[in-house]
Amino acid sequence: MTSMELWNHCENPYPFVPAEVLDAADSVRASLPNKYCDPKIAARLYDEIWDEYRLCDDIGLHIVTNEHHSGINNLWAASPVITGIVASMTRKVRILTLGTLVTVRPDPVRIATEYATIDVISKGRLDIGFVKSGATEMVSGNANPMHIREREWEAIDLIEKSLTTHDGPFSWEGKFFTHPHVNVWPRPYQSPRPDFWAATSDLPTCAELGRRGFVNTLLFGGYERTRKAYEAYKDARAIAGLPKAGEDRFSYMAFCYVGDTDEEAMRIGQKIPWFLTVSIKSAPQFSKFQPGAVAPDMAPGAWRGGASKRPTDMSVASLIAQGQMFCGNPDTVVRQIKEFRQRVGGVGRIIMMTRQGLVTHAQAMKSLNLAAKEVLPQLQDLPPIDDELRAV
Amino acid sequence: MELEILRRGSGRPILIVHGTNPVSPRAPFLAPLAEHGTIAAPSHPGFGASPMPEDFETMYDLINLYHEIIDDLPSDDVTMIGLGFGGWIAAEVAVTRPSKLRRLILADPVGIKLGGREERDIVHFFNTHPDELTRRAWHDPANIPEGCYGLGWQSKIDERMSDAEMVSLARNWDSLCLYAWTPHMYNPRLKAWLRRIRAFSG
Repeated sequence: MTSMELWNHCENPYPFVPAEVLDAADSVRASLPNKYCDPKIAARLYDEIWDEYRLCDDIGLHIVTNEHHSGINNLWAASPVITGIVASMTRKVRILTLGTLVTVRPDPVRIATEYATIDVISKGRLDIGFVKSGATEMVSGNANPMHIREREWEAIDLIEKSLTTHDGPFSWEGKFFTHPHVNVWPRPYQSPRPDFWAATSDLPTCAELGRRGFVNTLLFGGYERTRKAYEAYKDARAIAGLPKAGEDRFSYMAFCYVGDTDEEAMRIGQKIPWFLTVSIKSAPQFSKFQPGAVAPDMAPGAWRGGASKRPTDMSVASLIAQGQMFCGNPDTVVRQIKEFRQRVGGVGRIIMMTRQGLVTHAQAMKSLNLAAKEVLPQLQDLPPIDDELRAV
Repeated sequence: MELEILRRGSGRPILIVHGTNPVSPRAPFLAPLAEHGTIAAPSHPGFGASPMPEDFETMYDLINLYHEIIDDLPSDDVTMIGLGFGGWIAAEVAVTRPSKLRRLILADPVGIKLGGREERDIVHFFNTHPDELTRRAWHDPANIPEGCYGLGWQSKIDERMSDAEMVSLARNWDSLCLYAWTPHMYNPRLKAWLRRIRAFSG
């Protein structure tokens, strides 16, 4: 039997910059001047989201934080600070950092220290997620955009060793990071370390996650890409002779709004794709022409404009049909999540992106309450996936 | 090491160290320059048809490679011309006084920072819009020779460009980023050592 978890992900967007400013800017991330971010509005947003997190702690929705920089999509730039605050204000739910940008930050040992501290503050409720990052984040972080996947793995290895070494200083002299004296205090609360997650749909990376036993999460991958990613994970474990992974090793982030009625949910849910329609506008030098953005062999397709994996139809109905959004009354959302679980071959952890775009605090609180009280109970003790049906 | 090398003319060697992209065989300056000697214009590893050896990705690698190239030239009367990013390589090589080097020409070199901490001496190649790079790189972009791609080359991408050209440009851009990212586009200590470059006449 599988009992699914629901996680709440809000990245604290700032949808208050005038449209004419955004239309005139060649990028709404990395280069948009911070004069357009009113700190008084930002302070209110933080307060509102802390309220949402306290609610999550009360009703059993786990919490995800992440990190993006210098743009309207996200005010979690100081991600470990945010995650530490969440650890301090909550008592029961798990907290996933997804995550500070290990390919941007110069010292993974410092990251390990921050995470170990947060794990202790939360008394063992931290999960650590890794993202490859790229694009505008490399620009904001002044990071070399080349070889970031290789750099990510070295950072992960160093963070893991920093969290699990307890017998005094060790030395690290890698290709990307040199730290001749590593001795993290405090050590993490959890032993041997907090669980690791990584967000990717890159199949060789999914395979490596499988071999390492990380949780593989996909962001808006839709049915087909998600199923293939999970299969790469499972196949790699089978080839390596490792035990079959449980559904808790698979996670999926989707836009989500739960309303009293389908009509209400669809109406409010239409505010969420702002994330795709407005908040990802990026200048060509930060995207398709950034070194390393695509393998040279793929450049002709990308530069001619045909390589985007992002959905083109941003209506709620279309996003639901593609498995990128769960939206409706509680029973509708339960049905959508169960169908998604079936079609991707099993998934245990659904991350709901609810407070996104122009969704208000009150609307977010309502959806989170319904998700916890009406949706989550229907996702407990589910029968095993019928593999015969997963490719429907 | 296997390198693609463009050659023109005859006589004493003229080594061209290229910038953003390898020297185009269609570059108009090649014919008049070839009247003065044998042009040898290698493509750096990772550029053009030159393979990129594993982990060969630092300025240190390039500087030592160009020492080897000069060592192998069949003359002790070498002229080295560094263009843009290649000007950085050429300046680094020149401060160590290779015995065969007689003349050094740096055209629009990066690598050398002269201004203060809040003065940007060198435009950010990778974070600047291609149109702005083109504006800064060319006196009159309308006269960019056909087949020549300098800084801001992305602005020239159109439907007439072949896939092979795009793949090559993408590869060059990735390689440039690897070499020039750290230290970023200049060596903070190079300015202090430029005094070692000796001028030879004749």
